[in-house]
Amino acid sequence: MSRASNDLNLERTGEVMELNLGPQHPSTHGVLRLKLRLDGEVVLSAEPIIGYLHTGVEKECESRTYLQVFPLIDRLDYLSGPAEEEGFAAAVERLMGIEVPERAQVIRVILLELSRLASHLLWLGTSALELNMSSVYMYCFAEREKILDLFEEMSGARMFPNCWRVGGLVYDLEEGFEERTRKFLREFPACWTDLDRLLTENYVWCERLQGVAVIDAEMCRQFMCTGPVIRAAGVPYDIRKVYPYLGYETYRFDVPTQTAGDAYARYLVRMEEMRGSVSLIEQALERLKPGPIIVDNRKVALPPRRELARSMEAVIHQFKLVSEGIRPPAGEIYQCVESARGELGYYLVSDGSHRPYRLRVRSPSFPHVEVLKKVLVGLLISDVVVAIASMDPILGDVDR
Amino acid sequence: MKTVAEAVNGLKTEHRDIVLNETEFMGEMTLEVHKTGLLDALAFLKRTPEPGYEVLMDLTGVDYLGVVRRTKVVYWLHHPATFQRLRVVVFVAREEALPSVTSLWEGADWYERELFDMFGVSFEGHPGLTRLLMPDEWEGHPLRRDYPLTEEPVAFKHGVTPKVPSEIIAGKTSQKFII
Repeated sequence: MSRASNDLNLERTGEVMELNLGPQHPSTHGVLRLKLRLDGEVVLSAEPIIGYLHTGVEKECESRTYLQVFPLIDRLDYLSGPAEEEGFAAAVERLMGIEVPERAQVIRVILLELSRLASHLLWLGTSALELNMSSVYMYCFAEREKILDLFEEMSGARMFPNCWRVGGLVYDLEEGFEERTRKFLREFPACWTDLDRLLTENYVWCERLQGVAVIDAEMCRQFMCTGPVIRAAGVPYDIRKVYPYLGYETYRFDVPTQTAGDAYARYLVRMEEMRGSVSLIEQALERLKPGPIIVDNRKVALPPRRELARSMEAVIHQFKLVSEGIRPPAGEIYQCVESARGELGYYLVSDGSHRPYRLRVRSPSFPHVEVLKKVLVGLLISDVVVAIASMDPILGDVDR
Repeated sequence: MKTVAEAVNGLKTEHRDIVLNETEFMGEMTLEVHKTGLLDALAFLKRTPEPGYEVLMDLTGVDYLGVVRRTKVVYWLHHPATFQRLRVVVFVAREEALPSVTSLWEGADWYERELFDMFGVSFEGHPGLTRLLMPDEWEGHPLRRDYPLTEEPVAFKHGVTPKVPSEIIAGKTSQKFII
């Protein structure tokens, strides 16, 4: 607001123009539609309109078994597929009282942090691209390709590993996975330093990002913002510290916070989180020990293939698990994980049958898009792009 | 009131008979209130510094078909300092409306619009209750339990058209195939 009215000599005629930043737009980070009312270049009001990516996943999950839900939900926040799978698997595991074996926990942490890194790299690349810094985009995506190669090696799919099962994982790590991950971790800090040197003290980057879309802690409380948004406002709220899962309480990492609450602060928080992820993956690789990767309970996890030739019970378990699936006890719980965007929560209502009665995904980007209607007022239209980029919304999560 | 139990006791002493039911499952406390006491209960729980459940982390609904078809609206409250969480639920029947909590939390605006869109729950005092995710002219509320998952009739050969799920639910006169 101050930038628009004080520093720049803008022509304000008082004539209001309605501009539709339509759902199909390269800078809206997905199919987000913004109805802007502008006076010259200053935004008078902004109304975000969502629903263009609504696929009815929550309704669909009510008709599927617990195994069939995994491929649906990991495409919600399509950049943090592992976080989505972990949230759902953790919810069911907690409801059933299943303890995941240690090796599976460590591998899950590695995959989660790799996906956080990949998501932040994509965010940085696309945000810079929107400010016409396309070389940053290329550097980020080149690093991201290495992470996606690691995922592909692990499970066959680049973005959606779909290797989570209730009780553990379905694939173990291949022979050279650890070396290749360590190689990536050795090379990544150089790329991070490049990006840092290119952007953090860059005059154009600072001028475009500082002071834009300030969201303070009170607005975060009113609008339920979490993740880098609330951490940039000074509140050190990180699910990995507050409600630890997968043994995060035993890892050493800091929660980066800033105080300014503007787009630049959110950028700094995400850059620090990238470094934090590298350290977490290194710590996790140290802890990898041989062991089972899925729980040994035949009512929950499929028996190993070689048992099917020898044991009738194994065949029956396999049949029941594939056709019907697991049956958690009746009840409702809420389980949250820290995705790259914030608190990703799963509210699972089970009626004791083999299908979830209701699966509600509390998406982190939903309030972040909602807060735009408040925070875009008074900005210039060129700041609108920066503001949306700094919130890092993923419309698949918002619309479900 | 450092624990959830203390906050619940505080609520029960401050407003008599406001809590219809309280259950605890897997470390999560759920309070059922009547819709007339909803705003009082949430305003009390939100009050700072005690009990201090200042953040409404999630606002959603679960639909039940029973003798009476009703929706359970779930408010998931979060304490930003002690990180305790508390669930407040209220049951609302099909034609009933709930008071809106946008006066307490501005961000509840879109959550209530989504509830209206998906479950058909109306909120009194809401600044603009329109559909959020579905197209504006859509009829019906998809996440209701009596709303079918898909409506497209499958096109078979020789002019055979099986019934669509909504016709089956409505109990239209039968034909040879039950799909």
